[in-house]
Parts: sequence; structure tokens; C-alpha cells
Amino acid sequence: MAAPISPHDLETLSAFLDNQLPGRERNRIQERLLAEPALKAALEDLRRTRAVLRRAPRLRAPRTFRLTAAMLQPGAAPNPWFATLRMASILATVALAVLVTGEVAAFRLRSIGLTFGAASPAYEEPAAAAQAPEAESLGATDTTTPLETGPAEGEMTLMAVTETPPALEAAAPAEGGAAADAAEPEEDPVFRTAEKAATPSALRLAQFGLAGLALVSGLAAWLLRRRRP
Amino acid sequence: MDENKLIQYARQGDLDAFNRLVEIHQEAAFNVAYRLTGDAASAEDVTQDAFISAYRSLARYRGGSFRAWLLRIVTNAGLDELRRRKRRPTTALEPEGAEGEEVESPAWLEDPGETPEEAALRGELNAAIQRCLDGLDPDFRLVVVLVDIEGLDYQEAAASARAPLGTVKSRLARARLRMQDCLRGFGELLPAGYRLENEGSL
Repeated sequence: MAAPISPHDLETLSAFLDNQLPGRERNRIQERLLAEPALKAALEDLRRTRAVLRRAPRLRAPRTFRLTAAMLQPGAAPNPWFATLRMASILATVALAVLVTGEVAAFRLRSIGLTFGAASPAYEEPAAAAQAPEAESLGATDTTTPLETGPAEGEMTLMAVTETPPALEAAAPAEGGAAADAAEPEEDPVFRTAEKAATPSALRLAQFGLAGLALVSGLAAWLLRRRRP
Repeated sequence: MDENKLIQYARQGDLDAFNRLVEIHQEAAFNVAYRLTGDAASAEDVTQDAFISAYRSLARYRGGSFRAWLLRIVTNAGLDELRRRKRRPTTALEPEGAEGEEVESPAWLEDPGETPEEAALRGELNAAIQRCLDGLDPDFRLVVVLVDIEGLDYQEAAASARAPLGTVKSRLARARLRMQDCLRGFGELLPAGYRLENEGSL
């Protein structure tokens, strides 16, 4: 009995048999076939196996598989509203999840900001400590380079969020008195964005709207599906 | 009318055009389904379901070999049937006659032009091949059926099996080796000239 051939050689022989080898590999296996009787015998076995399989009786279709209109009838085609409603429900659920996650994240960020605010002189990561003077000097000289001023802006954002409650408190009397004007925080777009984002009523409204949409469309899709025969 | 025109009309909802495509490909579809499931009744169901599914999915056909695309749907349906059967094993593998007895050469296997001896030999060869195919893992069986029995080239087989070309090559080589080992066990049943000797080189 000849030595067994490797899986790689087997694969090469099989592809060679089907004329699926690239030129160089084909030449190489042809040379080996001349020198290695075991390889040649393996090829011959594969060839005969393939020949037997190719002689497998061709079965006639026992009947026609032509389609009729009845086969494509309902039950069959889903109601076109089903897909729309299902998609609306999915999207509303995803959007709701994003909003809720965002709100939670903002809340946590605010908490962290408070911590930073309380411990700001002491709290400095080593990397941040290394960059802080540079960032400060850049902040003072060139505030238009977003990449380099990134950490400083981040710090400003945190501080702005942290200071939101006093700022909001100050906003009410600001309409009436000059003393309040002194307490007004400096005009900062980041601060304004954070303040807007914290507006609870709009957020709640959106959350309730999305939850309602998800529920109603999901329920409608489920009912449509149940009505299908 | 050529196949592309038929596909185009079928995509516009012309059921007659689609049925012309069914007539062209139903034999290949049934053969693949039968070789995969090893059972004529299941193969009929799989083939019919696959054509219904193909009609509904025509919008997703993006050109290329229509046969490969269609056979991909058939193989998906066939593999689903195998999975279902694995969960709830029930069916008999041999075809039965009206009185429940096993039929060696069912109607879809008969060839009116052959002698009884030839028919018997053909039936035995068919049974031997099917028995060996049934012993392969479905993924390996599929590649042998597509390439060696249905005559698809490697590209078409890769498209039908949803597998990379290299995977098809490797599966085919290993499946052929296993078929070779299995078919050796049938010795005399195989046609003269195709018998695989027991003292093979592997």
C-alpha cells in the first residue's frame, strides 16, 4: 500500500483534475506526478470516483413545479403595512434607547463634573498633567485649534455643566437687577448647549412620543400578522 | 426567448415567463434537492418551496448565473429541511409503492429506453451513490452534488453554496476522498470500469 498523501496534495490533485489550478501550480504537480507513483495512483482514484459520481442517474422531475396564482396567494404575501409598522416600531425603540442612554450618560457626566469641580486642583491624570500647561498656553494664545485645545475644551464643558445649577439660579434675577448681571457666566456656546440639553420637558416629550410610537406600531404590526390566514 | 428576457418579464410580475424558467431549471433543482435530502417526497416539497421563494425574491437577483442563484435557494431550502429533520427525525429513505413495499426503481428514476438489467444496474448505482452521499456532512455533500453530479464549475458552486472558492475546493477534495472510501464498499455494484478497487493507493 502506498504512502498516504497529504490533505494539501489531495486538494491540489482534486483541483488539477477539474482543471482549476493556475499555470505554475499545474506545472509543478505535473512534474511531481511523473516522479511520484503514489501521487499518480491517488489522482487515478480521484478520477474514477469523479467518473462514478458523474454517472449518477439523472432524475426526471416527478411532476411540474410551475407556479399557479393560488400558490402565490395570501397567506403568502405579507401585508405591505406589516413591514413598515414593524420597522417603525424597531426604529422608535432604538431611538428611545439612545435618548435614555444619552440622558443617563449626561447625568453621570454631570456627577463626574461635580467631582472634578470639587477636587479640581488635586485631580490631574499624569498625562493630563503633562499636557495641561501646554493646553493652557494654547488656550490663551490660539483657541482655534480644536485638536490641541481638546482637553481644555473638555474641561470647560465639564465645568460649565457643573456650574449649571448656580447659573440657572442666577438667570432668573438677571432680568431684574444689575447685581445678577455680575453673576452671569461668560457667554459660552458649550455652556448654552449643555443648558439646552438639560431641558427636561422636551426630552421627556420625545421619550414619551417614541415609546408611544414603538408600542402602537408594534401592536399594529402584531395584529396585522395575526389577521393573516 | 432567452433567459435574460424571461427573467426581466418575470421580475415585472409575469408568471408565465417565470414558469418558463421553472421548466428550464426544475430538473436540476429537483436533482439537487433529492441528492441533498435523499428522499423524493422531501425533494418535491423543497423544490416547490424554492421556486415560490425564488419568484418572491426575484427583485434581489443581481445578475450573474441564474442557475447558481436558483440553486442557492434550493440548497438553502434543502439544508433547512435537513435541519428540521434532525430536530424531528421521521421519514423513510426508500421510496414505497402503492402497497407500502419498497420500490427499487421509482418512476422518476425509470428510463424507458433501457433494458431491465440496465435499469436494475442504474437503480443500484443510484442507491450506492445516494447511500454514500447521505453519509457526508451536508456542507460536503452539497459541494459534491453541485460540482460532480450537477456539473457546476467552481465559481457557480461557490455562489450556490455561499462559500469562498477555497472552501469549495477543499470541501470537494475531502468529500471525493470520503465518497471514494464509501463507494469501494459497493464493489461489484458499480459499473465495470468504474469499480474502485479495495487495495487502492490511499
